[in-house]
Amino acid sequence: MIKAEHLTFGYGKNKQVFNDFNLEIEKGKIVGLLGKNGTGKSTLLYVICGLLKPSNGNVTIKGIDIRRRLPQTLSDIYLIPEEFDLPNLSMKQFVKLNSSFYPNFSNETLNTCLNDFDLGMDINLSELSMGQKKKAYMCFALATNTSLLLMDEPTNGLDIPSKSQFRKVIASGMTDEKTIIISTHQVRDIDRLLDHITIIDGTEVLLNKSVKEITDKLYFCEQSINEPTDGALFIQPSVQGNSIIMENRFDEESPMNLEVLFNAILADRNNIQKVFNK
Amino acid sequence: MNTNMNFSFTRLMAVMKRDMMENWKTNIYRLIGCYSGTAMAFLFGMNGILSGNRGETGEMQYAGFCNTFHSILIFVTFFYLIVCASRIMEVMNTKNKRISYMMLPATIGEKFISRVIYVCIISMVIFFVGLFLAELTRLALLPLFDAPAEFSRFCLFDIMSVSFYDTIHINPEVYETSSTFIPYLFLISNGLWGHSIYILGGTYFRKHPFIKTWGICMAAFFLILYTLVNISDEGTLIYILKWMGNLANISSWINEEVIFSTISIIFLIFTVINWTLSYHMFRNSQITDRKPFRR
Repeated sequence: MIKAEHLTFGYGKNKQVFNDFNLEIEKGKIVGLLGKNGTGKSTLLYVICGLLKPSNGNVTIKGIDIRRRLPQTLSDIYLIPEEFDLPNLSMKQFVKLNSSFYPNFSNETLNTCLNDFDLGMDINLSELSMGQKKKAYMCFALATNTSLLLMDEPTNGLDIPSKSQFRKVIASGMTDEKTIIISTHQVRDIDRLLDHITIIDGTEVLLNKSVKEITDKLYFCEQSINEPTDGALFIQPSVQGNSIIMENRFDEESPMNLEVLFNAILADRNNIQKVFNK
Repeated sequence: MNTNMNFSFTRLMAVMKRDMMENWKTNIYRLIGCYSGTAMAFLFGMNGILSGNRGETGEMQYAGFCNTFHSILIFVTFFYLIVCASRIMEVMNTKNKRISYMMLPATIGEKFISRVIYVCIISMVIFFVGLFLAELTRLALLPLFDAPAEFSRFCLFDIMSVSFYDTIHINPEVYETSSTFIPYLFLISNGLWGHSIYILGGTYFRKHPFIKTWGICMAAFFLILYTLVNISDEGTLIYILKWMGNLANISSWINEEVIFSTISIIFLIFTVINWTLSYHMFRNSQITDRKPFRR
């Protein structure tokens, strides 16, 4: 679906973000794109959709070079940036003006999504709060039915009920033909939603595994402070005592703790990688 | 929606419609601005001519009104056009707007043409609608001015039909040139070139494109002026006229018409270059800073 090869990109000579960066993302996945601040998550999203041009290397989507910005490619991608402006129009007018650019646009999906978020078609987009704007924009993005949906910090600004609605809406709109890439720091908002994790640090991909692979190989648990931690790959103090990642030797299923996994990868990547290489 | 990579008129219309509708407030403000500006100018101008009457006939007063507004209208229209031209990238002047516009599924050519049509044609339509409404206002308020009967004519046609020679105060019978086309060509090529500079400035400068382009033009103008003044001690104009005279002496076919035609063609070539560079920069737009020669 998406292939980034030998990407080199920087904001000027002294702000190199990617250097010979490679990444491949398959279709039909909800991918969590994680990384520390300034490691290039948003930049990668912009490069993937052709808003930034790498100085070297290229990104292809379904085999087409994104730098060409062809209408056929752009009508199959939708980006929800972290910040955006909406025009002084009603949702109905906005849909009328913009839906014609997307051949698979579904009014049914839009109405369902708006209902889920307690919004209607008559809302004036400029009069909404930041969270409501995000919900309305997200509904439009989902209704476009593009095969690639890129989201940059989608849960920022959403209230607590809306975060669970967001997960529901994303999960219900997912098909095998779609790929959703979610770049976020709010890992707890989305960790149950993801089926692929990509952790980057600009120069390289630190982890690029499916959630199934991760939970097959790693065991996540919470222990009290007095319990032994022998054989733990990573220990992180928590309210209960310790959050632990162990090698999953007995094929036990455990819910992935994305925050701990992220910290483990940053702290000792090789230790985790060894388990995957076995 | 057609998603092929070639030019699609349907897509172009959709981009333009989106542009127009999403910026409806700006368009309304622009129309109100054009209308109120021209209405005030018409009313104050007419009042000035009528109150300053020194025994002229109504016909003479009306002709004076038309001549005055002909020059003003040319200047204001050109000024308005270059201000609009410098706003060619208005839809992309913030990062959020750039993301929204660049992600729009249309070819870069369609988006550029849409902007060109907007800043060159739609802006002019808005201007002329404002002008038309201003003229209707002038006619509606005419009874308040105790104006001669001539002023009750729809003056826009009369203003626009004032001849070029009336404007530049040259009698065509005395003027040496046999062609009326060359002076027009010279003026139009100058205007197109000037306009294209602001299109180029608009695609290059993200913030305050008009002021920045105008500043550069002024700086270039004064630099050229300073250079010209220092060309010759006897006076630059005399020097240039002598140079043109010498050119005419060298060969019989070189006359003022040939020189002005050549200069016009040079201006037109520069116009094409400016437009090409503008498109090049538009095509290479990213959400970061614009750079003219980025890969």
